[in-house]
Amino acid sequence: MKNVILPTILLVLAYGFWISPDFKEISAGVAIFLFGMLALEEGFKAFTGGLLERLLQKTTDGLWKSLSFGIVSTTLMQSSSLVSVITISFLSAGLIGLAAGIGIIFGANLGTTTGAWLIAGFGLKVKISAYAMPMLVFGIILVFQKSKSLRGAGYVLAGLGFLFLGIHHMKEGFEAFRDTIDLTAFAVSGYAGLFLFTLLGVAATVIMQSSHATLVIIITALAAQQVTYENALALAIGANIGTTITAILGSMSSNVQGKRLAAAHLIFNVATAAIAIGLIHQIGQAVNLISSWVGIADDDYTLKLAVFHSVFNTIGIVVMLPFIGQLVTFLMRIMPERAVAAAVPMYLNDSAIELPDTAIEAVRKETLRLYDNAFEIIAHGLSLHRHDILSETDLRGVVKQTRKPMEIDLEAAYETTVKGLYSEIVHFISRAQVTMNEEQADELFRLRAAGRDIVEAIKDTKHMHKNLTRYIASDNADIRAEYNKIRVQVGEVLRRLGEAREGGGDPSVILSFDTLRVEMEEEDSTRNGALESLIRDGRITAAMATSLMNDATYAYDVTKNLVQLGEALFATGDLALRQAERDIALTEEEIDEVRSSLEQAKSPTLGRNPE
Amino acid sequence: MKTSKLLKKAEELLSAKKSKQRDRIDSLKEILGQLKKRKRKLREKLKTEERPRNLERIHKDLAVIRAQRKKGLKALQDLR
Repeated sequence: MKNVILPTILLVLAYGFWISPDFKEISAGVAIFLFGMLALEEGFKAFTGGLLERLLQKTTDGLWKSLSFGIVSTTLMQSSSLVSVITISFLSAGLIGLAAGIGIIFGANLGTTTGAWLIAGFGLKVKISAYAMPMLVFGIILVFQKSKSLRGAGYVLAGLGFLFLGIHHMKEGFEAFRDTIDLTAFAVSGYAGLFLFTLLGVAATVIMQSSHATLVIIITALAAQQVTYENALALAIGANIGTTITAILGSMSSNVQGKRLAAAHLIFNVATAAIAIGLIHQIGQAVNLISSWVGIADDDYTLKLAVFHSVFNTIGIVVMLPFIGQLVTFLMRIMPERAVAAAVPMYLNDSAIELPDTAIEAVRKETLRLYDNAFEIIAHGLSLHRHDILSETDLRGVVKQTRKPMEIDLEAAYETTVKGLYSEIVHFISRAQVTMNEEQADELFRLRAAGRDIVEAIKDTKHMHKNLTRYIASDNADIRAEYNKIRVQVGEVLRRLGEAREGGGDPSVILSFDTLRVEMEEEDSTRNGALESLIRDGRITAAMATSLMNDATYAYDVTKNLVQLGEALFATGDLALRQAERDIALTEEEIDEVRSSLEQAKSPTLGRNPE
Repeated sequence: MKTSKLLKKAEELLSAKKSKQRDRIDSLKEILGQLKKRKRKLREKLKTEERPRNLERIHKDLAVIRAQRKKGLKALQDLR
């Protein structure tokens, strides 16, 4: 399904760009806006764990504080949309909680009403979009700095700049549409007019991406008596709903927390609008009353509209505030965080601890699970599929076909499927070994060492992952071939381990790992020779050579750890049998002897080269 | 059977050390037997396998098994 949707969207967009330059500008505006959101989040992340967290914590640790924060910041920035998208990025970066975020959004709704006062009272609006260009320039200069906080500030500035630029392009694109919105053509009275104008207000704000812009139109139309006062109130209500579109757009690139906040924003504004529509006459009377108190003339509809805007948003806050807790619970229920399948132990239970042999078996089985999880991480780290490794396909052919690196977050995979499980195993072993005799404790020690080998193998895979993904897609055939050799080398060991894992029951399987040791040593010495000749002939750069040398060592260590863990983990039979296996397994000197005997007998036709 | 011989036999049966040694001998024999089987299987495979890489692998396996069996047989001799 996914394969169809994306190309369709791209095609529709391309067609739209072709037939309408306005549409192209609007879409570019949305893209720039979303890019700004990403940059903003990146910037705020640079400040996590420091000043910003403390500042935000202090200013948003209570409901009234976060509410005030929303009011003040929106009054200063003159854009509730901007405050809401910034709040979404705070939330996505984990700087504030959902309740505090909702408080800020509520406050922003009230803060935005100051705009109506400014427009109506002074005909003035702080035009922060004019700062987009300098913000971008300063921001990008800072992004190139080495200092983490300067870079963070740069991302924030550039992010804001992109947000403004995006909104600017969206507005520009909608210029043609705005010209066609002739409010006088829709003058309708009664509830029908109320609903119609609310919808118009929503549409105008969604199109222009700014409730301020809608308010400017409403106020000018009202001043020119193009709309009735009642219809103007409905337009203002609609603008309040429409402004949430910015937050919804902003949350598209954020995590579930950001989406929850956007949903809270929508719920709040729709609920407030519903109250305002339901009580329109009562609110109208209250506005008249307040206006006469503060000395606004009866026919000064523009200022009365500003009063209405403030009154109905205040009512919304008063009504919704007591339900913030329920709103948080509701949002968390309908928008659950995607469950991360963190591995939990399956075999380690307290009843097994008392029985040494059962405890050893439980640890073995759990470590086998750990191995299975690690197998996947290492395979994907090499950009190889498990099914390819576990098949009989020639891996040299597979690596040649898969030049595109696999997308995998090794750190996240390690954290979820290995780290916790490994800790549980280590903890279980420390409790279980108390009741064991020397032989049993030794076996447990070997299993713990196998667990450590698994973790080490993953860490070494992580070390070489960055270069490997870069060089297997390189245009330089020599470096690509060398990295593919590494993939084949580790892949072959994984394959052998897979065979040993499946072929339980045959004690001699473990001894076949000695062949792997022979191959590892062979690989190591031939690679050194090949590397020297590649450098000498200038076929790879010095940087490539250094990377290759380091990564070859990592690969060697991965295979060594894998073989070691395989010996401990896949051994079957009783303790005496395992001891006998260890007696027969070859020492390093004996491995060397086998290697030299093989080299002597080696036929010259058996050269290898994965590329 | 003489009493002394009987006592010796009983001692041998009861001695944990000796029993362990016997276990080890049995285990070594079992593994050596398994290695022999693997060697036979690999030799059979050698006759039919044509891919150079697999042939090379079989040769290596055989060389390793040879060294392991040599080591195992020596360990067995020492234990007896």
